[in-house]
Amino acid sequence: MDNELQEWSNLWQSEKENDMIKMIHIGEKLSKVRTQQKMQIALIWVVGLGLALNPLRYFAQSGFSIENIVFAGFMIPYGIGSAIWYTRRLLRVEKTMSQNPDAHVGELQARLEQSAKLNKSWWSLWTAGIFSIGFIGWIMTRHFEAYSRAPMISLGIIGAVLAILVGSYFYQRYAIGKSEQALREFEELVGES
Amino acid sequence: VKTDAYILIGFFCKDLSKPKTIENVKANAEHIFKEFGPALSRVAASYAPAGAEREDLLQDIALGIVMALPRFRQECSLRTFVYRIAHNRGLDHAWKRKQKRQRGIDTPAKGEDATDLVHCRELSPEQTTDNRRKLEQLSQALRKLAVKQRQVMTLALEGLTHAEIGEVLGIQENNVSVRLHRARAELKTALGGQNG
Repeated sequence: MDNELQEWSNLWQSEKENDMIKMIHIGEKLSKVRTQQKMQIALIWVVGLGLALNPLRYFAQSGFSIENIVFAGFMIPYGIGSAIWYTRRLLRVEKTMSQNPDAHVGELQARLEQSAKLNKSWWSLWTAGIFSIGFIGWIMTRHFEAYSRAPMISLGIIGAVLAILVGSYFYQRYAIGKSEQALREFEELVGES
Repeated sequence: VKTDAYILIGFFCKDLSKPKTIENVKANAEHIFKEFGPALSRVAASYAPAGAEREDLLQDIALGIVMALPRFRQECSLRTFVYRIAHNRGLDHAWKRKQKRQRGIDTPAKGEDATDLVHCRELSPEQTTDNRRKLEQLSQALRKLAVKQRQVMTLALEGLTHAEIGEVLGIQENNVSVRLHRARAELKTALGGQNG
């Protein structure tokens, strides 16, 4: 270490005060954090199991019909899967606490990049759009007589679907801009390697 | 999955309401804070200005250490483990702060950079005014560095060798040299600017 760095180091290490870490506060905070985590995990699993077990009600009511099987085929993996996903997300904070800081920077950056990538993916918007238009078109064709008698209601429905699509487009633009800006700011904060 | 299960068991089975567990955690943590307390204060100073914000960060770092302590496997030294947690918490804090500032939730207090001059209780009484002023300038200049450079520089100021810094941060020694070189140049400019 040369003179300049040694001088800074001596100055830096002249700060020796150690009265700011109060064990009583740490104990209180730790108990509070643990209680919160337990409550969150319990809530996540109550909701997840509630969703997964919900289709059983329909099986009891109307037996193993094809609709009930399809419904259960969706709800059971969704309920259990979301509970596992949220639990792992909650535990990730704890797991990454003692990783090396370079990996920590990389992980935060990867999360922001993933968020930007997700916002940029158009398939969700177009799938929703095609599905909505197809569904409305199908309903209207099926009940053409009823809809032709109420043109204003029909126009209202078409208008609402279009408004949702246009709204989704602009929201997506906003979300893309926001996530890209967050990524730029993070890169600015951490600097180059 | 194994780690997840281990943490979950920790949540539910290592009940903190049991006096023995509290005593064990306290004893280990007290030992660590006694040994690394001043170093942790300095790490906090490189991420947050003096006052309530720095105290909050320091408590947060201490909490992180206490929470992670049961999973310390001695694959690295205790010092490395403690510094890693402190810098990770520091980065999280700096990032949250920047986001809040961007959204306008948290605005910098008037003359915030000068708060170190007001909150001098963390400085020992025997320090001279000039020394104190220099220390305040140094911590302010450090907080202006990019995080990757700041981490390398604060660890170097703590007296760690390049190899030790590399171990803490998880980077190669030559990368430590590059970052330290850049950090040093920027710190010098910042300190020169403040002095001028």
